[in-house]
Amino acid sequence: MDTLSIKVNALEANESFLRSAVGAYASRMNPTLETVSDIKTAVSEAVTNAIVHGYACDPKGIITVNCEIDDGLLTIEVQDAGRGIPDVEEAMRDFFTTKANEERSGLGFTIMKSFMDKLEVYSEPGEGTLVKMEKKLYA
Amino acid sequence: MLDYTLTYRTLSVRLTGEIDHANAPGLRLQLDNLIKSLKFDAFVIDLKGVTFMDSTAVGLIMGRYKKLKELGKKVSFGNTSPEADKVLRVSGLYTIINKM
Repeated sequence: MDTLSIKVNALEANESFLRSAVGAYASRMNPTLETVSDIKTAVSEAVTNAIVHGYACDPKGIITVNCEIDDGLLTIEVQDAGRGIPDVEEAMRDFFTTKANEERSGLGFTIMKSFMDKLEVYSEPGEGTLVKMEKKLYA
Repeated sequence: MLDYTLTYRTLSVRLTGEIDHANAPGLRLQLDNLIKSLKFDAFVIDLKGVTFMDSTAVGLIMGRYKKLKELGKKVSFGNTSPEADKVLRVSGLYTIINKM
């Protein structure tokens, strides 16, 4: 068993904290620098979504990150109990954003999908969102 | 972090360190101030010193690009770090803004 569990408030400062923490956790398996960078980017996207969309930047919101390494495979879950996504399929489309006026690119899920080996998103309006990602830590 | 040089009406802006949702608003303000206050024809975005960026940085660059195009400026990328390069490639920004 090799697991990591972190619970933090939806603060902007936790974007860099969480991506660095998960990057450092993955590093114990000696992945390439590019793999660590991919993981950090994907975690940053998921955590930013939880803060900006899930909790509308309300720091009372709680973000939970659960990770596991099993046989060289890293699984990351980023979970919030925020407002949820009404249409996940639509949200995952390239360039789709509900906040165009704030210069959001609408590429968060596109980047998570491209940078990780697997991406699954579960969401219920009013209940929150769970982003589950996988990445092989060695070739 | 941000610094810039202005030579022969080319404004080169170097962004360094991490660009994410937490610090993008500050960078946007600094960039928009430069765009407003300096006289230039070409705008070069140098990302060689960027150690981390995510889709928030893509939104930041796209927003500046639109503004600069409206002003009739030429926009291009200078050097990029491998971390920045991958995000730019995946996001399709290279199809809109050329690399020098």
